Amino acid sequence: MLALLSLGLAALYGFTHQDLGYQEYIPQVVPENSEYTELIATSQGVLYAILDAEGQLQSYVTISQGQGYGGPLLVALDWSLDGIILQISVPVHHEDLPWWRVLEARHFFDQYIGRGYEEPIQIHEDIDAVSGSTVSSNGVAMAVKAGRLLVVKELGSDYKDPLPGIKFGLPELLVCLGIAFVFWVRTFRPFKNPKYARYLALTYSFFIVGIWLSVPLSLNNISSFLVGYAPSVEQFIIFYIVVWGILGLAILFGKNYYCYWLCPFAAVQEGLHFIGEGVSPSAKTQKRFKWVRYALLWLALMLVFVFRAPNVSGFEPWNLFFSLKGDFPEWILLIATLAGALLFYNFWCNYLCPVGASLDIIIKARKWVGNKWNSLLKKKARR
Amino acid sequence: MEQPVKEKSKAIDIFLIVMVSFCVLISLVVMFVKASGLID
Repeated sequence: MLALLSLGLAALYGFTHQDLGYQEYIPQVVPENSEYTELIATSQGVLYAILDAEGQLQSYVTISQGQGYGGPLLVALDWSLDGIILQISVPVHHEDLPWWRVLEARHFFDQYIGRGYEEPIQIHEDIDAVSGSTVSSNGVAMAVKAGRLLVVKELGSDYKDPLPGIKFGLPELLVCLGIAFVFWVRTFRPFKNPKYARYLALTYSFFIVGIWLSVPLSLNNISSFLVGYAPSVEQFIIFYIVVWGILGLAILFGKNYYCYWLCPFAAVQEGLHFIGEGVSPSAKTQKRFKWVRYALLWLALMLVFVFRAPNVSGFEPWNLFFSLKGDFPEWILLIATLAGALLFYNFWCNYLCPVGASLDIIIKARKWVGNKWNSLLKKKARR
Repeated sequence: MEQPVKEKSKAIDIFLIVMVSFCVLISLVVMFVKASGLID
């Protein structure tokens, strides 16, 4: 109860301490001390007129918002008077730095300079996303488009932004099939011994969910929904399938279909445990660490709510394992976890995983609600 | 014969405690490094 209360207070604090001052970012794209005046303000961004010393209109600056992997990001754009992008800067973002540096190194932002507002400015069309940082690339593109809408309005143009369709292809289909397979095996129990079905699911998960798509269920994904910063459903329906497919099944059926079956990092750990000389700690010691996963989950969510930044909770080692992009402490954690998995069966899952803890909480809460409901029905029947 | 087995299991328990504590510590470092990038 205390944990829930503190999370609620943290969420309230984060919500009431959001920085909404945009004008401080104007100097990122025009010379400092430029005179400006606000022309349009919407929930997606603000358009400013930049004035010269004589008070003549010189250019427009938009500061607009998009959704990255770690939460909202702000893009500042300097537009010429006929709607061509002259300068771009991203003054605020919550993306992980190793990923962000890839965007900078590949000159992703330079692609926007010189583009007119009537050009598509669309990822996979005239803008190339950076492989491995597609959510961040898309977040920047979203913000640029939001800025474009403000310029279109100011110029009185009848340009209409084409509506993006939902992208559902082979990756999304394969993820659905994987979840459906585990659901079928665990719910309808078609096999007397599901051991080989589990190995099959883990192998699929390792290669498809981990190596190929790199979309394991992460606390980062879950918390981005909790703070209302989920990526766009049109571009990234795969995240919705992973998060709501697995959490939804846990809520509906009271079963954890992910841990030990669909988690690619569990596949890695089980593989290592098979190679290494496994040892079993005493039941007493194992019990002693049961609370650790919940404590890590609580702390991660507290930080997410206070800073309103889901990427803070993305400390799990699989992010690095499947992307090979991370900071020094993340490498240390990955190496320590893999070393632990060589000796202890599913070391991360059993003692540290906050995603497993979230699923356990959902299942326990569902059971509690179910029991309360049943006892209420029984009481009513007795009367 | 029982003594070495007991000692071995104690050593395993201690090693697990060290490993979990170390990973918790590094997890906290990772979280706070990420969070510190958000403070103006």
